[in-house]
Amino acid sequence: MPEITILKRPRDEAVITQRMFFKKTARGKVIKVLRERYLRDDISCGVNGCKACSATAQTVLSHSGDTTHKEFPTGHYILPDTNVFLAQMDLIESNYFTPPIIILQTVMEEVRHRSLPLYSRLKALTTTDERKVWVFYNEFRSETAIVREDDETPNDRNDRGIRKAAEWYNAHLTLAHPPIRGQPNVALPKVVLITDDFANRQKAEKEKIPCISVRNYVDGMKNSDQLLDLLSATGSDEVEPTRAVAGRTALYDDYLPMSTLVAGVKAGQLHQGHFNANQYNYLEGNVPVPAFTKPVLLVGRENMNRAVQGDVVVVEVFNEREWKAPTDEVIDQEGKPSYDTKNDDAEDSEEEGDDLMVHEHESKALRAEHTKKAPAEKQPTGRVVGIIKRNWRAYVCHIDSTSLTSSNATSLGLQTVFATPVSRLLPRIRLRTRQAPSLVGNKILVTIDRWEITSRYPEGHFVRTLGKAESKEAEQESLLLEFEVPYRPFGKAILDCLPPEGEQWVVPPKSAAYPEWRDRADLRDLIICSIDPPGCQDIDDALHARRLTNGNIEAGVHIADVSHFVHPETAMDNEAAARGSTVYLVDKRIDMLPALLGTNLCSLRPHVERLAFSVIWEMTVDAEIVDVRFTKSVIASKAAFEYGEAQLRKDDPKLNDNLTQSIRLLNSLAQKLKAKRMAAGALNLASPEVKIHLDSSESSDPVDVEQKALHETNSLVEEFMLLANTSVAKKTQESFPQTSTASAAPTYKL
Amino acid sequence: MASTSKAEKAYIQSSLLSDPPLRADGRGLIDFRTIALESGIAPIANGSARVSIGRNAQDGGGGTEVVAAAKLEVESVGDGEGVDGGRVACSVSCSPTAYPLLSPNALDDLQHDMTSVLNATLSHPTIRPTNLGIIPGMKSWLLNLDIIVFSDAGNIFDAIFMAARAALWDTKVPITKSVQYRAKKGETQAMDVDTDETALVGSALDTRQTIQVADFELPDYWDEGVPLDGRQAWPVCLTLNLLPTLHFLDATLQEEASVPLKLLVFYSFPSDATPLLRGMRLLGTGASDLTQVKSLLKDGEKYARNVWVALEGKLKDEDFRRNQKARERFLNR
Repeated sequence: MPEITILKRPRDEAVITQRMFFKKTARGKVIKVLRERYLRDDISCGVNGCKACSATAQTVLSHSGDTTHKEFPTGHYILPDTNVFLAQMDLIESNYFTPPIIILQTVMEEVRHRSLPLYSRLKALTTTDERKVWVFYNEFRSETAIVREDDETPNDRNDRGIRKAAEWYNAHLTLAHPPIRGQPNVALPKVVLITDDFANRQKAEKEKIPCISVRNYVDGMKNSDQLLDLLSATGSDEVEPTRAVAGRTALYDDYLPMSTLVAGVKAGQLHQGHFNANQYNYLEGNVPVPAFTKPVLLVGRENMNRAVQGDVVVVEVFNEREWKAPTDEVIDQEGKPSYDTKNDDAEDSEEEGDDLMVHEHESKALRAEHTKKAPAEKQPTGRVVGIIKRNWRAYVCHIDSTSLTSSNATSLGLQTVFATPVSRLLPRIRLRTRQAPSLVGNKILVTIDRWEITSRYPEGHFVRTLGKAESKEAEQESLLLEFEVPYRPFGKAILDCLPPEGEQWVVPPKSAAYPEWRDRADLRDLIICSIDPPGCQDIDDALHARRLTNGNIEAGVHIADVSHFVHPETAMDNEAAARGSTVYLVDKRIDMLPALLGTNLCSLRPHVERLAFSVIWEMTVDAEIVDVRFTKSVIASKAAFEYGEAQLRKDDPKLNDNLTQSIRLLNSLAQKLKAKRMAAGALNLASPEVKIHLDSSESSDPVDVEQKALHETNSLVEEFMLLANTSVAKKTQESFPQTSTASAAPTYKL
Repeated sequence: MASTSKAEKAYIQSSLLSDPPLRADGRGLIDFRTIALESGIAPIANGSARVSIGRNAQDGGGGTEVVAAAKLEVESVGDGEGVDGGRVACSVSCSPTAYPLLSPNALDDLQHDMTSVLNATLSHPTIRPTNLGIIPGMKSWLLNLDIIVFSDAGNIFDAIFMAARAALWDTKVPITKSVQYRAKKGETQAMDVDTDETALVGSALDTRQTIQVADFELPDYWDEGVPLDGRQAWPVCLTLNLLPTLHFLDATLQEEASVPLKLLVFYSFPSDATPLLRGMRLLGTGASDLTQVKSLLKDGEKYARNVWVALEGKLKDEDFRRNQKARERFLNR
């Protein structure tokens, strides 16, 4: 008999056993939420070979910690405070940043509360295999759980929880390293609290918890040179307070607090939308909002108020008589008169003299433009009063070489330089780096950290270099980054979704015992072939046609059955959904699905058996559909043609085999189908396709561009794919009238 | 409520009138049975309490048992019953097991009677806490005070009011912060940088701005909030059972059935001021005259003060037990 004990939780202990919070719903109701909290003693510290924790837990932190840091020769683990993740995520994610990290639950929750994108990056960090990251659920371990005191702000409570966990860890490590008899006492590794919160550090020092600021920590690391550049600008504040911030004049208005923005938008006095910069005029942008048919125009830096392309902003619309019309003149950031660029030096651009000049110049350009416009073209005009969400990412830039103060290649001094983004929609970014001379002429990745009201340009930090500008690799990668194409290799979780047989996977012999054969038609004997562009590796469709005894024609389209390999809601499915499409570059492709599927198992290669989804029509010789059926199938393609090849074969009068006849049959049907489609009012919206010739298959440098020739067979494939789509659409609408989406164009009476 | 025969009633009446007065459980005329009180019994409510009067010490059975819970709800002022500055709505429901002899209709009537007594006293605008408003003229809290009678062994009104007072004492109102957007009237700030209009914006004396509060937020959602304003003011109820020539307190069911008239008085005792009579009510078939009521009020005030003092002490104990003590126990575990 198993003994069942009920851990009764008396109401007196509610303070400890329950966590209460209020939630305000979207409809404005306030809900009280209660969460039970069970404190336990078996939450592992995550250190390998810890004697005090249960051995069953999978630990990731090395036994002696990281011993390469100058300040902590006896080994250490780092325990970062929330502000480190909020401000220095690039640093933490860098491959050079290798110390074992302990992430507290309190910190995770705080990050989630403050910024969802950073939270998902943090989550991704905890799941990567390469990094030594341990998430410690401190709120659930009885020694480290804390209860909020009266008159304690949530922030203070969390800071206290973080310090408590750091203290516990350091005490716990003595248990993980029990003294061994006969050996001198080994020096213990430390758990170091990293925080940029001065008050928290002071309190930690008082409690004798090892702690350090981010900058001081990075300074002591062995590869500090690469890492110091990654420090975001916010982190450098305390090191250089000498710059007289207060003395500078504010160039922009402060943003309104978030709650005010939300209230204003709700009341309809403010408008929310995405900020679009004007790529021809850096002093102009617009924000499409639902309240107006035309987007709200923003003219001048002050009114754009530090918004960057893609940000979700809140705008205030001016009185109607102040509305303006957009310019159509090109005003270029770089094309400014020379006095401007010269004096617009990165270091001293805040000096008043230059400011006035820039101002005058800019407002002159604006005034000139806006006075001569007809009133009819005017559109709502306003200014940005706040930002709902920044959509800052890493931008591809190049260093503005004129902004360098010292171009000596060996100089390692810290300089402030301008990075000009490749995209014309973005402002120049000011960044501080030690590697400036070596970065000139390179494409680099830069992240924006902040944009102060006193600074004309946003401040950012260097992330990494992509390579020499105009080199193929650097340009290719910068294109991929600019268009946000995910091009990283597939992760382990995704590759784990592939069939374990890999390349050796075959369709099993026909038998009801194999699930592959369940509900599948055996179409292996049909004369099926595929027709694709030259060099195509992912053959996803194949065709066949044959005459039936009753004089009709049977035609079929076979699509690779990807759903057999990619199941819904798996890691592979999610990744493919996120990628959306395979991206073809001149000399390489970025797959949507791992290559094993795309170019092998889900490619209807000739002479092998493949799983497919088939649409099979019975048609009259005049291409009238008599019957259509849909089935899962197993096919074995007999040939894979290129368009030209198929065309030659069709036109060769000497050939008369089954395959050739099949192509001719398909072609004749396709022509009739096309004629019918055109008669029904179809549009031809095709644009010419180009082919890029490469030097040779080895060097893969493009040498020429050629327009692809269009063969009859192109149209053959196109016609049958259209037919398959329409048949499937009809069928889904018939079967699922409630849920299928059909685009119903209104019928016009002629 | 329990059926009591005429002979029983006559017997109880004559015992009470005898010298010295005799009661079935040996109490004096102005003695209460034991009262047990616990607050914070419903964690999901904003405030709650349970009161039982005359519970058996051995098995915890018997006695009058009442649970009160206060729940706050956001209400828009103007639509429906919403009132600027918030309001309190009370309701009493009786478990059918408390009154097994009553038909469902009779039970409804009883509940309604009890609700109206409670509402007349506690929902009165003069006693409304001042911190039930959220955004003036737009949003306010509706405080629903729900009371359930689980069993009735006499003196139900005293128990209901005690539970109500304890639950309201326990109620915490989440702190809200109204958010607003200052719209500038007339001249909007021109983009022309030559004018110094920027200097005017944000100045407190700028009269061109209208303040429009549109919404509110919870600045600290981990916090229970602050107690209801003026929680001292919630009254206690004292029931004087009147048998001509004498009165007695805390009647059992049989005793209640034997008296022709009951006088309910609702008193609160603000610390600095004179006692405040919040209301009174005569229940029953008998009659009474003004001079008698006057002297009864004087006695009632005296008894009510005793109840008030005892309740006050217990409520403070409860606050201490549930917060500080629990936290200390957590630290010393």
